[in-house]
Amino acid sequence: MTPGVSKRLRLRAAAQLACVAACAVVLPAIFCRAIKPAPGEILPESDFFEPHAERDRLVKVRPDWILIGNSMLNSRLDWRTLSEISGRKARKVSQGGTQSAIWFLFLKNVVVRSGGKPEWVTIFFRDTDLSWPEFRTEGVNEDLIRRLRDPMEPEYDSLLATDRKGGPVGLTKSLIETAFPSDELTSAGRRKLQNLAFDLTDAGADIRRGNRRVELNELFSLGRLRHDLGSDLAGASSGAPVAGVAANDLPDPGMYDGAPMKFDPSPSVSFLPHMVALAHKHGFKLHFHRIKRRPLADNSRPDSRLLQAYMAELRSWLEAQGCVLTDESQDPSLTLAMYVDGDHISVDSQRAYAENFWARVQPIIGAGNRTQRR
Amino acid sequence: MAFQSVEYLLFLLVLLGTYFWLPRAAQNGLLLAASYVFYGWIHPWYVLLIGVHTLVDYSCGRLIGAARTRARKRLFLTLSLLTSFSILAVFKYLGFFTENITTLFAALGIMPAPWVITIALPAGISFFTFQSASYVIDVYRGRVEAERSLLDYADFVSFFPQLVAGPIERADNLLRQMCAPRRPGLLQIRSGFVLIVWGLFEKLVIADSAALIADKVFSLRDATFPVLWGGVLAFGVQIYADFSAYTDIARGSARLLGFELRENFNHPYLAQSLPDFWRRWHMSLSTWFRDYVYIPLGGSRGGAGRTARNLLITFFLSGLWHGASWNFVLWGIFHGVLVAGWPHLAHRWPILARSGGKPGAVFRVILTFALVHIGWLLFREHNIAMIGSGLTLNPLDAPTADWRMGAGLAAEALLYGLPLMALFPLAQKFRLVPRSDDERLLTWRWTFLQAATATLSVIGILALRCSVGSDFIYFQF
Repeated sequence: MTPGVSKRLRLRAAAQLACVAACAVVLPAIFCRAIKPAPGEILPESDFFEPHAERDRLVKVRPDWILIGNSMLNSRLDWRTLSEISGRKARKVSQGGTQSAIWFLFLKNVVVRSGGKPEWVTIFFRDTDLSWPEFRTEGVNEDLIRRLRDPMEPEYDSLLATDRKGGPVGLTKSLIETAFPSDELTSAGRRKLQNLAFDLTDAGADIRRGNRRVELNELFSLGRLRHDLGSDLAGASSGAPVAGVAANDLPDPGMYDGAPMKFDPSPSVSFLPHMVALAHKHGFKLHFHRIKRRPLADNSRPDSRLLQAYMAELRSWLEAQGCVLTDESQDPSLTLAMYVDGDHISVDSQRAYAENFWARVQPIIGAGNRTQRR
Repeated sequence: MAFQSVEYLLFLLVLLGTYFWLPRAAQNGLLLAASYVFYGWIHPWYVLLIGVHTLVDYSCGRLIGAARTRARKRLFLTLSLLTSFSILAVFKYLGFFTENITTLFAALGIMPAPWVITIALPAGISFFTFQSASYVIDVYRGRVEAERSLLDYADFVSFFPQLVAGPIERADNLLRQMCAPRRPGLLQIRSGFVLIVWGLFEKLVIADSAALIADKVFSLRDATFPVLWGGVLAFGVQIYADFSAYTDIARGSARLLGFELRENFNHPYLAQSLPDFWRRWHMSLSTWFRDYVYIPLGGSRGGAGRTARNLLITFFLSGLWHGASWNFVLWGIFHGVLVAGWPHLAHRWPILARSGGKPGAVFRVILTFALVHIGWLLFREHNIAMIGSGLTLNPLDAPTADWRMGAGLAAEALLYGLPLMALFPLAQKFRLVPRSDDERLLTWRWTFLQAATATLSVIGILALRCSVGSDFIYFQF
C-alpha cells in the first residue's frame, strides 16, 4: 500500500488481512471436526501399527512370551515358527524402524496395558540401540508415537524433553493438534487418493484395490531392496564393514552417526531402567537379545574395543537388575549367506535362524508346555 | 531450522513481533542476529564460515570500489573469488577429487588403497558463495557500487529466508532493499502469508508424498522399466514441488519482513524445449551461470562451435555445482548437449521449433517433459552402473503387473502434483495469481480468492499431508 493511502483504505486492508487469516484457521478447524471418515476409509497400510488392535490381539491370545523390536526382529523370526519350535505361545509386538523410545511405549502401553501376564519379554536390539533414547523418534515414528502415547507420559517426556505442557515448541504443537484433529482425516484422504490412482490405472482389469496394495507391498519387500543403499543403514556413518577393525578404538563401521559409545543406565538418559522398572512392577522377566550385524566375507563381525567395553557394562548392569542378555554377534554359524539386505536375514533363512535362536535361549526361557498350531 | 517446523513458525512470529517496531538500522541489526541464529541452528560453527565469507567479500568490494587502476581492481576480485571458491572447493569437492584421483592411483598400483575424505557440507554454502561472488563481480564491472555498510552487506549475504536454498539474489535487488527504508504494507503481509501456506502445501503434501514413491522405487535393486520410470516421474514431481515450496516460503517470509525476492520458477514442465526449460527452472541459478560464466566465455558470439563449447562448459559447471558426484556431472553434460544441439535439431525438424500450432506445442511440451525426466534419472541415481542399467531396460521385459504398478505409482505422484503442475498454471493464465503490489488486492473479490487459496491449502495439508517428512532436497547443495 502506498504511503498516501487513506485511513479508510488502511482499515479495509486490515479487515481483509484478518479475514484471510481467520478463514485459513477457522474453516479448516471446522472441517476437521465435521468430516468423520468411516473406519473402512482409513488407510490400513500393511505395516500400520495400531495400538488398540495390538492390545486386543494380546488379550485374545494371552501369549507367555512376547518379543519386541524392529525389522531386526521381523526379518529374523516368524512367531508361528518360533512357537512351533519352542512350544511356547510366542507373539511379536514390533514395527520396522522403531527404537528404544517406542519399545518402551510398546512395553508400557501395549504389553502391560493388555493385562496379559507374559512370563518373558524379549527385546531385540542392535549394538548400542538400548541407550540411545532420541534415536528414530522423528519422521514416520512421530505419528506412531502420537498414537502409542498417553497424554501424560512422565518417563518419556522427561527423557526426551517433549513435555507437551511445557516449552513453547511443545505447547504450539499441542495447540495445533488440538485445533486441527486430523490423523484419521489424513489417513482417509491419502487412501482415497491412492484408490483413485489405482482406479485410473487398472486398465480394465478387474483387480481389487486390496490386491493392488498387496502387489505394491510385494514389489517393495525386503528381498528386493538394494544392498548398496543399505536401506536399514540410511544415516550410518559408513557403509560396509571393513576388515581389521577389532583392535582399534574407533566406532564400528556402519554405526549410526551420533550413536552413544559409552553405556549410561541413568533414568534421565535411557529407557532401559524404565523398562526394567515396568518388568519388576508387573512381574515379567526381561530378556535382551543382541543381534549379529551383517558379517564380513569370512562370516565374522568383530567389535571395536569401545563396543566390547560397552557390551560388558550393559551385561553387568542388566544382570544386576535381574535381566538376561544373550548375544549372537560373534556366532560363526550366522553366515553372510543368510543376510539379504543390510543387517536383515532373508526369508529363506528364517527357519534356520529361529532354530539357532531357540537353541541359544532355551536354557534361559525354557520350553513351554503347549505346542502352538495357530 | 526447517521451514516446515514449529520452531520456524515461532522464530518468525517472535522476529516479526519485534521487527516492526524498530527503525531501519535496528531492523537490519535484528535481521542479522536472526539470520545467524537461523543458520547456527543447524550447526553453530557455520556462522563463522558465513562471517568469513562476508568479511572477505565486503572488504574486497570496498577495495575494488576504491581502486584507481584496472589491475588493482582485478587483484582484489581475484582475491575474493579465490577465497570464496577455495572454501567451497574444500567443503564440497575435496573429498570427491581426492577419492577419484587416489582410486586411479590405486588402480595403477601407485597407492595401496584409495583415500576417502569425508567433510560435512555446510548447508547452503553453494548458494551464499554464488550470491556473494555475484556482488564482487558486479562491483568490479561497475554495475553496483561497493556497499559501505558492513551490516547491510552481512544482511544481504545471510538473509535467512533465502540463505540455505535460494533464490540466489543479486545486489541490485536484495542489497538495494537492505539499504532502503521499509515498512511492509498490509497487502504485502497478506500475500506473504498466503505464499507461505501454499508453500507448506507444496512441501508437506506434494513433495513429501512424491518422495515416498520415488525413494521406494530408487531403493529397488531390480526395478523393471515401468516401475523405474514411474519412480522417476514421482521424483520429477518431488523435486519441482520441493524446490518451489522452499522458494515460495522464502519469498513469503521475506514479504512479511518487507522484502521482495525474485521468482525462481515459471512453470518449467510447460517448457517447449530444453533451452526454454532452463529459462523457467531455477531461474536465479540459470541467470547466474548465464551472466557470470556463459557470457564471459563468449556466449553465442563466435559461431556455432564456440557457442556449443560455451554451453557445454556452463552446463558441466552447473552439474558440478549441484554436487560432487559423477551423476551430477553426467546430468549437466546431458543438458548441455541437448541445449547446445536444440537449434540444430529444430532446424532439421521444424516441429521442435515454434510450428505446428497447438498440437505441435503439446508435442514439444511432452517431448521436453520426457527429456527432462531422463535427466532426473541421472540426477537422482548416484550409482553410475544403476543409471546404465536403468537406461537400457527393455519395456517388453516387464510383466503386466509391473506396468500396472508403474502406472499406479506415476498416477499417484501426478495426482498429488496436480495443484502445482496444472491448477497453478491455469490460475496464472486466467490472471488469478496477483502480485503483492497489485491494486486489485484491495477489492473483496480478491480477498475472497486469497482466503480460498489459503483455506484450501490448509485443508489440503490436513487431509493429505505425508507423515514421512524429509529435508528440502536443495539443502544438500
